[in-house]
Amino acid sequence: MGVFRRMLALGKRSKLDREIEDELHDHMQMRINDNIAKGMSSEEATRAARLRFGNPTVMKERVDAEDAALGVDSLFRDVRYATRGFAKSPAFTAVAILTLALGIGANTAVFQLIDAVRLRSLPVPFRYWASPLHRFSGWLWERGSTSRIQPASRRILAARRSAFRSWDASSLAGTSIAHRLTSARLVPASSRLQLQPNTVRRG
Amino acid sequence: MAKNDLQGALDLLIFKTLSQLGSMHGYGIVMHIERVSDELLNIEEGSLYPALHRMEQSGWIRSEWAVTESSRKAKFYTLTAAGRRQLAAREKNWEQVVKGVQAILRFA
Repeated sequence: MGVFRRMLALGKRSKLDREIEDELHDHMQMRINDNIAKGMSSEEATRAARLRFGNPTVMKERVDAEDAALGVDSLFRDVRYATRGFAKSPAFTAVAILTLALGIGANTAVFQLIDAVRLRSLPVPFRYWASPLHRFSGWLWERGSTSRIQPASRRILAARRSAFRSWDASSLAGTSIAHRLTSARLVPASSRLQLQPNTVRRG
Repeated sequence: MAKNDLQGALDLLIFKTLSQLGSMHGYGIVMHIERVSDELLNIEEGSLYPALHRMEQSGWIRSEWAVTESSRKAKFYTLTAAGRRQLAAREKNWEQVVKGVQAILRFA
């Protein structure tokens, strides 16, 4: 309950500050009134009260510090109390820890699975960047013995250059390419897609 | 072992004053201690208010705004049940401190 009260107090900080100010101000006024009742003039009474009271700002800060210091202090006390409570009922503690452990563990496992399957499957900003090439890869290269890229594929690749930021179309622009690719597959590389030849034969 | 710092003494005076008066504001506490001790004890405001707030945070006293007999508003402090238990413990503790100090003073 202590923690809850302190959290509330945190929100009411300015209200609390004003209350402390009011309280100190009222105190000073009462002193001044008593001084006047004792026969002092109003200036004398105020001066005497101020002298006795000291610097009101410093005092307010000290009262404030008392509240804050104790906040931390009693937080430790709450923690100690909780620990004692746990030690007193080990069965409850065990069930609570086990429940938390299983809950957190299951959560992590499920997240890791989804992360691996759905979120991180391709390290590209948008998944659709990859899909056209997947679709075209079947007829990107002429099947069989030829090493030439089909002109239609080349056009498509050129048109999609902006999508494949790191795509080096120039290497494919020639009528023949250095390496003879019998088939290729898409490989995600750090931040881009690469075409990796499955079989490389020197042309 | 008795806890015997000055702060303990101030707390004890505040506790006892509140248990005697029931409910009082800071100024009233200062005046009461001065009057009852024949002005031997003089509580400084600079120590009183931090102490009051510390005791309130500890749950030993609680406060509420009310109007004084001279129809001025003031924050009145009252002992809580925990505060009354504290008072009993502190009083006992104080007696031990006094006994200890007396023993030292009388040692020859």
